[in-house]
Amino acid sequence: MIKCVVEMFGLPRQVTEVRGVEVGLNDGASLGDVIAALRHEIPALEGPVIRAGEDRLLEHYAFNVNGSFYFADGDVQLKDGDFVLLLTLPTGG
Amino acid sequence: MAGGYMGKILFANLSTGEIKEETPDEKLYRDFIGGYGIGARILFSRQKAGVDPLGPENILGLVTGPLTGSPAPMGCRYIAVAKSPLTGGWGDANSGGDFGPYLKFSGYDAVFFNGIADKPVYLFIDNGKAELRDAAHLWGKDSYETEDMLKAEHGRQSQVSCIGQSGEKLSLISCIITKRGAAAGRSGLGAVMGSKKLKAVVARGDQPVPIADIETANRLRREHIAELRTAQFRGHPFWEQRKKYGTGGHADESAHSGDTPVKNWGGVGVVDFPDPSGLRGDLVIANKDRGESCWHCPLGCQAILKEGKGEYNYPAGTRRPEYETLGSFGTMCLNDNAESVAMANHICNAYGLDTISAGATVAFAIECYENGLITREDTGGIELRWGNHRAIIAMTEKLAKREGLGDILADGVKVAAEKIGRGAEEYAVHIGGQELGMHDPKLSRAGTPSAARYQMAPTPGRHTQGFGPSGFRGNVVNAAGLCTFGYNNVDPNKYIVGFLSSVTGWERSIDELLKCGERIANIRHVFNLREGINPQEWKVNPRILGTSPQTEGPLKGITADLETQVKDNLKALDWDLVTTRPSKKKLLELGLDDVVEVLYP
Repeated sequence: MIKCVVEMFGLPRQVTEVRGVEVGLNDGASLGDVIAALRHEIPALEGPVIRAGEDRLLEHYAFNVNGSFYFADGDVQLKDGDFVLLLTLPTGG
Repeated sequence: MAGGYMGKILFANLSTGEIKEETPDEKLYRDFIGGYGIGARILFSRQKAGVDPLGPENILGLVTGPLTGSPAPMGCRYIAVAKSPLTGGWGDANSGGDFGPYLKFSGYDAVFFNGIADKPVYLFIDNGKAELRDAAHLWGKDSYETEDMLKAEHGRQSQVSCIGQSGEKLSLISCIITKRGAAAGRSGLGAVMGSKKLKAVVARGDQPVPIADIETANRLRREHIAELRTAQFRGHPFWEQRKKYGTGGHADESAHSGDTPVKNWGGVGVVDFPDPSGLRGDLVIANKDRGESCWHCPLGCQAILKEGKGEYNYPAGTRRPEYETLGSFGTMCLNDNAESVAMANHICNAYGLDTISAGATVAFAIECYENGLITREDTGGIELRWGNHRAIIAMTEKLAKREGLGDILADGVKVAAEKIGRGAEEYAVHIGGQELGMHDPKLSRAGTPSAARYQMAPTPGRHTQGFGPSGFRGNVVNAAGLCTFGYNNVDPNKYIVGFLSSVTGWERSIDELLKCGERIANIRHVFNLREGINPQEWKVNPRILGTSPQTEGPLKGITADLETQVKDNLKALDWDLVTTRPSKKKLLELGLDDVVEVLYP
């Protein structure tokens, strides 16, 4: 069992009014597992940020894991203490 | 001549008054497409190195693409080109509006100017005839008045591209404006136009743009629009979001997500700008009068505001500010007052200033003031503090008029820092003299050269241009005369290939078009090399890269790996890792034999 802190910025923080949450995951958990954990811990994310009924982010959201950026299907295996950010991707003009 | 092109280019010598038209070889169009591709090719050929950007030998061009004025959706753009007085290197600036299509309807793909007029003039192009006319009655007028007066004189179907007072006063961050706010913003090209005493270009005409296969072009247009209407953007329909908010629907969110630079690139959104809700989309559009669009755009992402009735009395007809302006005058200045940003937008559009550079320069000035480098005496009594929107507007007006401290600020942060001294350079965030777009490169997808593009693009600090092979397609889109908003959320290859083929009649694959994009990247870059500029030698303010990483927020601990991004892309481009000179082999492959003679004497 590992623990990761998921901190949120931008719209994910705005819609939930939650700064971040610690989630418990199995060793070698993927970002899909993180999404599943977030759906459980912060249901308000489902719809605006997480696709309803799925362990997938909506387009233009991404995870940053220890300073590197990944989309939800990025090839990442998380370790205990990893720092995960949930962000909106660059937009605008 | 292929479809999409009028087949003629105008050259006006403002010193002698001579105007001539040329019929370029089809190879020019085929190899360089249009826009800054053709612009860079012509300037490299006809202008020698080392000219004064504000002198008579600098050539200013306004250049369309083959899809400008065609059935391709968002085919409305033109690009201004010249040697930039802001950077001393290659300069270009991309504009929407209606002017680009009307330049073609007047009979020309592009118009170039050299020389300097004895007195203020404007160029009037009317269905294949061009003449220089006296502009004494226009000189000193802002861009709105200039456009209104010229349309009154030449008819509502004429389109005007002009400078305001900032370009006349040679502000190095001035720009060229059409339609009261479609700006060819970057590179300080308003000053080039002002230095030539060229107040405006008026285009009027009804010559059709030839289309090789109109049936296919129209079918593709229908398909493209249908696809764009269903595209998703941040979990919401792209079409609906853009139509409602333009690009300004999320400035508040971006202030916290790590996208928008905060507090002159030195802050953290969640710490220094904890409540940016005053910049949220609904407030930005609260005073909207009606939507606005560029020529024949099916989407129409712009908007016009009603008269400002609150503290900021901007006139009816002011453009709604877009994301970059909300970033530069908002988040960069810790200013959460959307109405003040609308006022800043009006001042910049009327006087003809680049809102990115102007807002960034005001943010720089605030930081100087907050740190005691400039005083109330210097500011003329303005309390230039973070978030003080009244002070921000007052200083923007001074900058636009070159009054007091504004005269120092009017040439951007690099020049201002040199004049202020006392360590101001620390707060001057620019690359090569140009302020950066409102996207922090530390917030990037893994593997994209987001930091490198700011340093290495031929016009530094640009957020709309790429570096390396990932930028080739963007070059094709820009050179073709298209707005990128129409091609980022659909299958770009299908539509770029399809429209270029059906309009021009030249059947080319995406690979062949990307080769054009590569050729364009090289010709723009070698213009800089010939000027003695190696972009790797441009200083990059450490705030941009996070050299001392932020300790909080989404960019905590991140330092952009500029070196790797640059090196990887130089290799991919086959440019020397130290000098950035393209290899001889690459230049010959691209047909740039004359460039080989210059770079390998």
